[in-house]
Amino acid sequence: MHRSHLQHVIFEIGRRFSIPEFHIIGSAAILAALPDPPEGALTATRDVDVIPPNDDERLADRISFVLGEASDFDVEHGYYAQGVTRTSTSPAARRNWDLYVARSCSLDW
Amino acid sequence: MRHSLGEQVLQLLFTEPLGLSEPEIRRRLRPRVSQPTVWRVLNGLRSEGRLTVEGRARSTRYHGSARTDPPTLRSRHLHQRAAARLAGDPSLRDRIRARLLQLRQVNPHGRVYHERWAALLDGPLPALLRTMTEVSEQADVLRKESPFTVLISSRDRRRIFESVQAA
Repeated sequence: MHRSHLQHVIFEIGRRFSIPEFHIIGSAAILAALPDPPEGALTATRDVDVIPPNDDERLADRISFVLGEASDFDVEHGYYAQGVTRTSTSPAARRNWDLYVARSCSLDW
Repeated sequence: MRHSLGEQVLQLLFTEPLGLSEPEIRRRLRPRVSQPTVWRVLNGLRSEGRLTVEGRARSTRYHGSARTDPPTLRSRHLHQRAAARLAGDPSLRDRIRARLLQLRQVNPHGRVYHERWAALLDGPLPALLRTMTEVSEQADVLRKESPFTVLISSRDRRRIFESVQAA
């Protein structure tokens, strides 16, 4: 995944769900800090894990449905957003939180 | 050391890749506990994000969340559906190869996963189908960079999303 893909996903979430600010966690979040990271496992996947405001589970589901795996967005662009919550992610994802949860991404970015 | 009822339920769920229904959980617990008690425990675990609920009413199944957060469970189901289509029509592999080419261009960082899928696509079909549907953390990671989801119809996808919801 490239930084432009992450920017695209952020823009689409803001546009389609009218949420100006949310958190990105997991491997894609490194792109917010490093525009051109070295090739490796941290940037290997094509999904962007998104925590909606207030940890809203229904909104997380909607994000996954509209922009998630196997959606029209995924089929067209080859990358996708995955709505998650702080309580529903796996231990592996939580490990990544430790690295990136402090980085909040907004449409002003 | 004696585990709490919640921990006992989680241990049961972690041993069952396909999850368990509430009656199945209750039958396996020793000493026996009442249905309201099991429901209370399940609701408590769910509120803590420690289990995932699949399906509704009598078909509801519970999965331990350390293995199956909702997106992971959805991905497994999507790939089970894709595998079923591929088993019925192996010629779909050509379409998958085209999708893999697109993913290689979009995400060159995923090369290690793309090469694994490419090797499986060129090999025997049973091995490919097995990897697509395997219940393991390794397979869950591989599926994140999978080319197979283009085989899912929007109707099947909607069904899977309705079945597995975080909320």
